[in-house]
Amino acid sequence: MSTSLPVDRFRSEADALGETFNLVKSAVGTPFSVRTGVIRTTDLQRFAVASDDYNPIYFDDELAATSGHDGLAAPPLYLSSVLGWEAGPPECDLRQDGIGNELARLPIDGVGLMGVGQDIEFLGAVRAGMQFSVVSTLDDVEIKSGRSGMFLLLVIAREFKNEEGDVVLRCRESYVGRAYG
Amino acid sequence: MIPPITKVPSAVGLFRFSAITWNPHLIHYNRDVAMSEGHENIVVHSHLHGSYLLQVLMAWAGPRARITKFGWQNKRAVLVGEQVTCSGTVVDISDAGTVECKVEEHNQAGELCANGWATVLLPRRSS
Repeated sequence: MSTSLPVDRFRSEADALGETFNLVKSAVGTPFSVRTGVIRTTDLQRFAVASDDYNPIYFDDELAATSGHDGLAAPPLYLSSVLGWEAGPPECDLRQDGIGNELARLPIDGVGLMGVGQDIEFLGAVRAGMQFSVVSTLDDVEIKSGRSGMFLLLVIAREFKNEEGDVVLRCRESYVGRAYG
Repeated sequence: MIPPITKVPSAVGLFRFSAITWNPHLIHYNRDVAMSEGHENIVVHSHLHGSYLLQVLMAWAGPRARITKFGWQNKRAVLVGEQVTCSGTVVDISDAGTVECKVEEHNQAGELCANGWATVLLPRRSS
């Protein structure tokens, strides 16, 4: 779809995004690793509660067991929804929009990001008491133009492995980044 | 047809979701910042759309089913207090017991807010 942005606004957005694009592009393919620490039952249940999800397989041991789960089940989206597994930077180092360094340490200053979706493969068990290693890699970044102006489209791949080294979850997540005015 | 569910995300619910996912983005719990970024109110998280869509599938499939693949795309922002309805359809059934499904989330105006797809492994009847 064609756009009708004023020329000066178009140039301003293009400059701001172009600078970030070049920085981010240089990070394509560079892995960032982190560990989740031990996942607690409370973490999984809080995620369910915050999602307004009272499926008994997350709360009722007996029902989970009779449903074939080895312990309470984990909400499937828990691992791929957590943005940061570390303590995070001090508040003074957060950006004006609250974002810290959660997104694989990418150089995204000056760009507001919104997640737009994921593609996930669930490959192994996730339960309380387990911990995982996570490798995040920026797969691709593009500059695009739409009805509301120019934006970056970032695709980040993440792989979660259990302590035995088995992959339990693969996720590709897309983010849209727009220049702050 | 997969039975629909409705959700009305609240401010405290969105704050709790920010907390448990360690998502500090202010647009999810600070109205002024959300408005400064062009929204009319605080914004539902991308991943919460995904969670809502998964919930409609899991409620239908039952506790013995397993989701093996799932994906979704957000199409339109949902703001705090807006009611959304998630529904789904079965698009294919394999002999191995896997079911391919599509799911959608609409706001009260009927606008598509997110859509998704999933592969669900259903339990055998004898199990």
